[in-house]
Amino acid sequence: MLQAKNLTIGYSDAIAHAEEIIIHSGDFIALVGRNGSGKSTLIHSLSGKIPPLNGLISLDGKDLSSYTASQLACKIAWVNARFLGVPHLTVLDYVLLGRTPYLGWLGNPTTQDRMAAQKALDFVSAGHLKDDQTTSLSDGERQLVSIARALAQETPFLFLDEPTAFLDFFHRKNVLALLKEITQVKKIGIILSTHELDLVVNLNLPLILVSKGGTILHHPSIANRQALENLLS
Amino acid sequence: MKPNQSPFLWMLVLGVSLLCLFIVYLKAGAYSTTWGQMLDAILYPTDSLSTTIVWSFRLPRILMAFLAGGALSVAGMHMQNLFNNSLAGPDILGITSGSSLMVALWAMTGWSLLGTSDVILLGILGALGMGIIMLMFAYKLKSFVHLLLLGLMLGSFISAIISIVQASSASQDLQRFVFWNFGNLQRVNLDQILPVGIVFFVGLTLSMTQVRSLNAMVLGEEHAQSLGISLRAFRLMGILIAAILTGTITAYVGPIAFVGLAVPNATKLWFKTQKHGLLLGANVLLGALFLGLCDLLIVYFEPYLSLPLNAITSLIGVPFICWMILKYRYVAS
Repeated sequence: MLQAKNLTIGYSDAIAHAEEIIIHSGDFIALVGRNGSGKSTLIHSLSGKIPPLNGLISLDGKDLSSYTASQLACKIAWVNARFLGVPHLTVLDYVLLGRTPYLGWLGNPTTQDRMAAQKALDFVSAGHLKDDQTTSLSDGERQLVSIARALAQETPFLFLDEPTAFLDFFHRKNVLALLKEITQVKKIGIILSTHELDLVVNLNLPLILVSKGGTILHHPSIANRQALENLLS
Repeated sequence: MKPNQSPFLWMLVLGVSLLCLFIVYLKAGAYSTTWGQMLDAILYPTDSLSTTIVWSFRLPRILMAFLAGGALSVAGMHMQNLFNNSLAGPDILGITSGSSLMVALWAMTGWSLLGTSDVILLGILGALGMGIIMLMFAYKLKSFVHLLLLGLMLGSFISAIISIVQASSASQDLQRFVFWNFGNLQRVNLDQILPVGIVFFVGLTLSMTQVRSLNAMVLGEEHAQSLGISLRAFRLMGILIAAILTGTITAYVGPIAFVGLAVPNATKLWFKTQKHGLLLGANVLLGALFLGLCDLLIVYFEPYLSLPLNAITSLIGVPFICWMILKYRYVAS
């Protein structure tokens, strides 16, 4: 369980504040808010990349700041929409990078690591892409293998920062269905920041709202897009 | 067969080429030795002229060329990874200038940091100082182009200081410095190989502890961090390794241009991989081979023309980098 209490986030100035945030394994939560409201900052704070300005974040009962970088990487995986591929990096090698926290200094993957990577690729139905170059994938494929990379990390939590930003409607639906399956089958807790209010409404996702005034709140799913828009403005 | 399909075969090819170069080099030069004389001189050193030539001139020189080429290429690989840009390199980001400044001040005015007269330490301190300055700039600046320009500016600034020191120093010191500044393997002696070899070995061992991080860093800092890489430790280690390798080589051989920039890129293009364990080994071999060949060229031209090492590496390195920029447009990334 990931829990934050009396949390103030920001880089040097406070951006937003939350009384309480609780994420369980298997949760599928949409993080919504307007541009610049602090969604990415919240994700970075909850995954331990930037320390909170105030308040406490705990993971499985332990203070988040007491985890080493490696330990944290075994708990929380992160995906964004900005991965454009790297020259000379194949899809399988990319997914294998998800195994980084489990590898020794020399970074040599074991058979077990290879199997985990292959399984992750198969789970997102991208097993056939494994020998392709990451630079030659389509946007949709790149997002799928990025999710596979995060799955190979075998973490109980997965945070996604606008993962559907560059995808067409078909791929957006696909990715969201895949994420839902991940929460159900693998019991991974997912937070997904997004601007796709329609999809959020259609999928009945519970929400974390970041309002314009900088208040972060849990909110049950909303069945009406207009109501959601009103909440955000 | 492509290098990315059978990398170890190609590593072997590189290794054998290096050995061949070594043998050819020992025999090359104005004073001609037969194969038999050369072998005799190596296996049974006497006080004959051929022994002196091989042991005091040719052997230390080619060994230093190998060490310098390997070290600068590894330093370049670290910097390109650290700044996530193919155009990073010890010379272009001012690391080499830092060493030059320290060595120049010591050689021509006798002033030195911490009062040390150990030239390796001075070279390393200068490189490390500039490395940390560049790292701090990198935090402030989002664009690598800006960082590159700052590196070039700082390089010019340091050159200006050095030329002031040059203008007001005794002609004997000046001559020594000018030769050093050309990049110079001629004056290397066998006693210098051991300390440089030790630093090289330390740099390589430290590099091996970073392979996992180097691999993850190709995804960028944010991703590497989420994969469990501690950025602060990684950055410090990268700059430290680049500085001790560059600083040591610069102190002994002079500021060698473009090896640290061109070789790591050539290695990546040739082996087509992002596995840094392999790239590390390939950089050592290819860097050694490249600088060894450059120096062999100098040896062949010696009777007719004195070629500064720095000029040769630039003559080969600059067209390669230009071609790379035009073909791959890496600058923008």
